[in-house]
Amino acid sequence: MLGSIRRVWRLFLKEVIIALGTPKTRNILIVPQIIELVMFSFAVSLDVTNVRLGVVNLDSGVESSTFLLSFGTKPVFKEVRYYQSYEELKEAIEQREIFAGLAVPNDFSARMLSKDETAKVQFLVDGRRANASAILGGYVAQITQTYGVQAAFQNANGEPMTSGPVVRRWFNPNLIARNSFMPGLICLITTTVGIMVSALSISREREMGTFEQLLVTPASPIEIVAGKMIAAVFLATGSVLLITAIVIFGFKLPLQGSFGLMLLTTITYLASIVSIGLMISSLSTTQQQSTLGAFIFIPPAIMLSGFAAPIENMPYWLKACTVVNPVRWEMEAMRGLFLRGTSTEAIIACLIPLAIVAAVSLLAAIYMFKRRME
Amino acid sequence: MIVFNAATKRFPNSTTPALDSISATIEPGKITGLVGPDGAGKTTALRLIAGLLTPTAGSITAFGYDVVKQTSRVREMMGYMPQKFGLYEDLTVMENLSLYAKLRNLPRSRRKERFEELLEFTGLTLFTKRLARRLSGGMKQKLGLACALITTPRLLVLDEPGVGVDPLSRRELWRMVRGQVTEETVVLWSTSYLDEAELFDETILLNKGKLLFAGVPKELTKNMEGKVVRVVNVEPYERRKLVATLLKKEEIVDATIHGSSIRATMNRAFDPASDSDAVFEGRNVVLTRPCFEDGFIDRLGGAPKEKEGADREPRPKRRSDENVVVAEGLTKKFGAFTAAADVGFEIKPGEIFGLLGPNGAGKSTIFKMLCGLLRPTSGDGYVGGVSLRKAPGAARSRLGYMAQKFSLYAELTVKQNLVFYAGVYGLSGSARDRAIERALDEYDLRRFERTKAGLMPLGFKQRLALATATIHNPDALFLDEPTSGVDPIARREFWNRVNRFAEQGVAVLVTTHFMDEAEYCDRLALILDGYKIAEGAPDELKASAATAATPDPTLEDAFIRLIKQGREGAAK
Amino acid sequence: MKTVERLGAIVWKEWLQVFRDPSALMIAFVLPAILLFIFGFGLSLDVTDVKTGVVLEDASPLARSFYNSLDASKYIEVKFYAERTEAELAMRDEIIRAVVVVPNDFTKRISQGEIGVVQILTDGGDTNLAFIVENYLRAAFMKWTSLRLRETGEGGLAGKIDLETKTMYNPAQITRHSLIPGSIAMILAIIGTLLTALVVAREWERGTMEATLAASVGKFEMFVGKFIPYFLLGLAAAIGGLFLSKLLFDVPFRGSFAAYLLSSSVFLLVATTQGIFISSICRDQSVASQVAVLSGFLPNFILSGAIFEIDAMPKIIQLVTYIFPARYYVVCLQTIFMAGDVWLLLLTQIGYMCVIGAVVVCAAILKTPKRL
Repeated sequence: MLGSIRRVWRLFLKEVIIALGTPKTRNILIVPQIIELVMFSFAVSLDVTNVRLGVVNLDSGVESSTFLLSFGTKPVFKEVRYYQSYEELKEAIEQREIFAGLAVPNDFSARMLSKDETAKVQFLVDGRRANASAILGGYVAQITQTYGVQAAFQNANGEPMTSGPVVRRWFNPNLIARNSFMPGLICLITTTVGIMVSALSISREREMGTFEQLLVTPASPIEIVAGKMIAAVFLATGSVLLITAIVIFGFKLPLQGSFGLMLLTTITYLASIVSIGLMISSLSTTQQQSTLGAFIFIPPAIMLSGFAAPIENMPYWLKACTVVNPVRWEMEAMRGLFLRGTSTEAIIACLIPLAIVAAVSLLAAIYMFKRRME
Repeated sequence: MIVFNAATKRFPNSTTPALDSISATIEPGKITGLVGPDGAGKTTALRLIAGLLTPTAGSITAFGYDVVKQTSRVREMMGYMPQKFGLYEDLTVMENLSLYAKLRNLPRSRRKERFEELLEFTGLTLFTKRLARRLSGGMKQKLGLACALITTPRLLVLDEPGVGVDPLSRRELWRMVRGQVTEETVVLWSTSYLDEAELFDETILLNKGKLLFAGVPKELTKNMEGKVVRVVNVEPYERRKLVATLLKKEEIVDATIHGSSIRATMNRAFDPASDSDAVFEGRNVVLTRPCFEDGFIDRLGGAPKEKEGADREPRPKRRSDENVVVAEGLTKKFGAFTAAADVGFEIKPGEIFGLLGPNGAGKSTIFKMLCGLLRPTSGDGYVGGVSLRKAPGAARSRLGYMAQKFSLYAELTVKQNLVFYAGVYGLSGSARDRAIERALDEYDLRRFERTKAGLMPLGFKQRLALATATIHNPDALFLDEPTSGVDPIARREFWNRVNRFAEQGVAVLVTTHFMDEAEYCDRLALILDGYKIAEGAPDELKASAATAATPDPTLEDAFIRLIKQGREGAAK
Repeated sequence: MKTVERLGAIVWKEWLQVFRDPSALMIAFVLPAILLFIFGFGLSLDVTDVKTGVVLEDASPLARSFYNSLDASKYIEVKFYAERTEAELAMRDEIIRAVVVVPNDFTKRISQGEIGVVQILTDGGDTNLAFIVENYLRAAFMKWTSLRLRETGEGGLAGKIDLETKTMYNPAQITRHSLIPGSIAMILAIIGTLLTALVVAREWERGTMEATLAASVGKFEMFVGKFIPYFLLGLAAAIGGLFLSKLLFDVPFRGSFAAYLLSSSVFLLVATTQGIFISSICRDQSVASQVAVLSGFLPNFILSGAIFEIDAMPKIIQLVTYIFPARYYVVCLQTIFMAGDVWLLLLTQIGYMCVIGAVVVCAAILKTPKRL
């Protein structure tokens, strides 16, 4: 037993020295992660801003101008362009000169001023960008209805309306997209770094020829896998902690939950990811195959984790598949810890499936590693 | 005709040039050998001719065309076979031929005829539909040659065609290339096997980028005439000691074991009257024919002399006669294919045992089973009395293993490698420190202690590999083609060390392609198609292959003969 | 004639290699299929039936009438909670994503002439969803208010506006229809850039490039010979991708096949050339694959505008998106799938891609090796 621990310790040290020994391998633990963090944190947003709005106003009354003015002053719109006819407006949307357009008919003011009539406005939006069109549609509807009530109120009372719905947004008061993506981003980075430090670790040794040399030593397969796994988890944890520190102090996204709990979930998660990486590695003979394996694993795992799109939107059977996806649980835990300050029980509810996945994939990795030696 | 005019090639980030101002002329109508150990600059020279690299200084012309300015003219008349043969592994034999025929614009009308000719000539007719990746080393080499010969080139360039190929296939290759030589053709063939050098019509000997010799190989051996002797009939237990003793003498330039005799080179002509007693301690000494390697060693200033007191802390000698390594009916099946069938042999303490056989014969399968890298289908192996089946970890801790390619961690320093392997072999504390200190001294690795292992010169890498393989003082040492591509000086040094281990009672198992390396062994087993077809001392094997035509066969002759017999036997 | 024969030989050889190498097959067929599948089924941003808790602290008929107006909508699914704290707990546990509270002084404030105050609570953890639900709930309340004002006759003018929203080309606002073109762009980038880079880089490693070069194959032949097979493979993938998306995901296809092929070809021209370029520079598979992923796959994923909004990116990143052809290709595909052949728009986008293509082709031919 003591000999076994000593060997695992040596194997662990060897992996760590190799990983930290040369600038090239050292950089792999830091640089891609920072690039990923910066690139995603700035580029990843579903917000609708800088919209070019087209307007066709066939009405000559005051009402229509003030109505349209209430749009032009909103920061969402970068530019308002005027068109002569409805056809021109449609044409402009078709050519993607503008994203959306408002068409005000010639009886708008008259209807607004009448007691019984309903003023009609048509809103055209480019459905080729479906999500953006949904967001903008809701926003324009809200502005329009608010404007209507405001106009009526002011007309009756002679003073502007003061009350209306009070909106509070939990967890992210200013609805900054980056903040809601950030915990998922940490999870994404954890995944890639975990796979990166493990998926090549066996196949690289195979290609370099060092693997046979290692196998003829008294170290048993389990010891070799253990040494590699502990080293990979250790290195990846270091890399993830660095990224987390950048997120907390650089991007000013505070950790709501406890640090200990975050560390525990990260390590458990890494254990499962690293096991999967080792599994890929023991199945492949060359580094190229490992890279390919990692490449086939990562995108689906990320997509089916709720990172880019909510899991609720998936068909039932696909939703069921996500249960075995460790990324999903880590994603949930990280969002809970960073954004929601979820209770410890809820985090533990994520930890349990993570631990199960980790245990199963570790056993599978050892099994495959042993089988490859036959 | 190819003319090298002070050609120099210097790669960026390298302090010494890969080729250092080489001037030579290669004549048509002959096979010219480009000979030298790894890193001598052979491949660089060939790539320069093919216009794949451009010289840093100087110039090269081929048939009057400048290889840089008129690259395509040169390439059009050249057949080029790179290392690893340049075959597309995912294409069949026929597809490879057809591809090169099209790339070289062989007229469609002549293709069928030419393909048949080449297939016939290389003996690949039956394998046209086989993927290149599934061919044996020898067949790949033949196919590579066929692809290079597709348009009957005037200039045939072969880069180490013999690497990883057994002597039988190598002989066939010679025959084939010979058949191509006409008055007009220039054939340039590079090799790191020195024993091949004598077969060339002309030889260009390179070492570390420098030209050591150019001319008819006989010229190099000529001035060794009279200096090379054989001490015959040396008892097995004396051989290694005698080599060591001889090497300490001033007059002796080189000494190696050769079957039951010792081959020695003197720095002056051998004088039977005085030297037999004074130098060779009254033993039976006869003059013998010098070979190319003797000339090479002489040019390099002789074999390495052992440093006095290098082995400061002698290991305890093992005094048991119990077999250290035992193979007992080792059998390995991969599906329907039997890679090894019921192979058995024993190795005693202090014995050097060689496994020989053509490529794909099953040597490495047997070797891997004995290292515990492969689990036998049936049978078992024992190292130091421990079963590899029942206690693989314990058995492995008794053996030291050195792979063919450098297989230590290139990213770790020399010291870190030693610490790591000492650790996994269970050494700790002061025992570990002592073992590491001793290895650093004994293998002269002190100055590289903090150097990354991958950055060391080849010879030192090999020393480190042997040092780590023996750091735990194993009972048995397993060497897989340990010295391919290494220069002869380093090879001698290596064998001196291995001999010292054998003297201390370590059992040594070697696989090799080098016949002179096989001569170092006490006993050999010849493996063919998974079966052990012969076993015995080198001289016994040679004697068994003697015929009226060749009364005194070399080990290579014996090897080829035994294999032919074995194949005929299997056919019946 | 000689050139044509040599070209043919290289194309034929590449072709055989791809179909005989399992890892090349993996990249060429399995990976694209997985991606298309995951994109189609797994990536939907549709906001429908968002679970919304409603707490009526004021149970007057007025409050009830507001509650009833919320009921019938595709955006939300109303859940009734008796207590505010109960709803808040459900929100913390992600059971519901928004809460509407009608406070106990609701009726009182309205009777005092105020518009009345409801409180809306949304889950900012998902900004997309929060923004859409918030706007929907605010609009719903305002609409209800304007109706109420008209009925009671309080307003001097009715102020009732009926907004007819018409989402062109995609009336049901199905996000999948916009995302599928993005996934096709990604697939083509994988085949064109990643596969090409890997397979060509492997020739350096295996020493076959050395033999081919020595067989007097010229720069142009080498480049075109490598280009044609992967270009055709990419085109096949484009057609297969279209076929699969029609079959599995029921996306519309209102444009012409010709327009689809034309824009895909131009995109592939850039992607494939990029792959050859990468492999000429880094002759090592692992480096080549990393560069291919960084310069081919990721930009197509993040910067194409299919998933993430280019307009919401910082100026500098917006500028970067212009360098990558994905941006133009996604516009083409979204238009061809949903709007039809808007030639003026398509040709402009294709023109931009051609400019990028010209630059990349020049660079690749320059860098295609004649020596080692």
